[in-house]
Amino acid sequence: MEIIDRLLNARCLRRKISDNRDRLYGVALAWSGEPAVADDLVQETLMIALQRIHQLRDEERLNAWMYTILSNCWKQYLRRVRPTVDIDDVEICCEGDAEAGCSEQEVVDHVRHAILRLPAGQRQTVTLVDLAGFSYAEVADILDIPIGTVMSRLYTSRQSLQKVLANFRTTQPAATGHLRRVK
Amino acid sequence: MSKTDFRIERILHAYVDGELDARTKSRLLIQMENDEPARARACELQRTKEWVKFSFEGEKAPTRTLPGINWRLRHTSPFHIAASLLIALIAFGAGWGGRSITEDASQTIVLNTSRNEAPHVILHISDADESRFVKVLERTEQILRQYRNTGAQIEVVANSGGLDFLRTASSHHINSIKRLIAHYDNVRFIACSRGLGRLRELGLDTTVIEGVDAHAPAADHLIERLTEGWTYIRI
Repeated sequence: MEIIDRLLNARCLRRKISDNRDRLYGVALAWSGEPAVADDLVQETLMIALQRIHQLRDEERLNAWMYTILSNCWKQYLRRVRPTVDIDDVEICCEGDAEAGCSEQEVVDHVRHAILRLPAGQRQTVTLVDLAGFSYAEVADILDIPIGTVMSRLYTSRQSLQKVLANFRTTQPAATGHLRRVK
Repeated sequence: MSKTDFRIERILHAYVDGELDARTKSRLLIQMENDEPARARACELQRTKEWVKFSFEGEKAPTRTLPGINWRLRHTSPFHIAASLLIALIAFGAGWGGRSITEDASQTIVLNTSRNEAPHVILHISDADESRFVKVLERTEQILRQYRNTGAQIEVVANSGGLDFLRTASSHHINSIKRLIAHYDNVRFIACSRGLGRLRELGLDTTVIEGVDAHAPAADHLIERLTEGWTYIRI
């Protein structure tokens, strides 16, 4: 029975890994700013996770483990491909009805732009905490940095983001947003 | 910003991130009741946090297949996996001298793979029957010849009594195994590490033939391969 249990468990874990695609994609998009790159990073992450699932000792850590893989893929990508597009050359435009909720869309564009301008370490930290919802300890573990560094990065990155947001005094965020970045 | 301000700032960050313990949190809440700037600061931080979340939340990743999982499971139906697993269970649990699941009278190995897929086969032996091991070697070589240059992968896994054939102290097939390993780079012989450990405890020589892997328990390895969709043949 132990063998059956383990086999079923492995299949269940595989499903959980695949189900994480959208969440990983959001974070990968925040790190890279490029939908195609984010898609490739997530695909690579899922494939590595599926291949190395037997290395996961504690299932509770599945989520954090997958973001660790994503972070490693991102590091490898940065080593492999130097950024060739100046972030200031990247135009961000809205899809859909431009008039409806335009002010929110405008803020979203600027927040995204501001996040992309953060140093890579700060960008990773702030998105892992604010977007993926990890604790400081988990982020320290994922990025392999001390908790103090996590806190410092959060402090600095939020200072930068607040400067951007200070220019916007808008109403509540809309329920959904559809963005597309074009060069 | 003074050191105290910086400390308070960090506490406020920890507050909006839900990192404070109950006691620190209650102290902060009381302090904020009389501290308008601290309240405003906490609100600002919360607002920033929400915007970061909102700006990327709800993004849908493009749909893509996952070759890492589908490629291996594609050529194996759930029934095939279940059948293979059942045989493995019987083999381990009851010491059943089962027959090969794909053995046929014509002596031709028929593998359940499509034309474009390279077969991945695992042959399993768990007792010290000489005639059976001779059959394992024959089948291994037959498959290797039959599926030459197709990317086929063959693994011979031995546990329990089958380990005798992979130990230098007890095997009569050292040269045959070495020849196969030297001649084909797509064949592996695997000795169960747990079984070898038990033999070691009994004071037996557990040195395996050169080129034989002995790093993992056979059960774990079989499960992994079955999960990946390999064809299981018990001899």
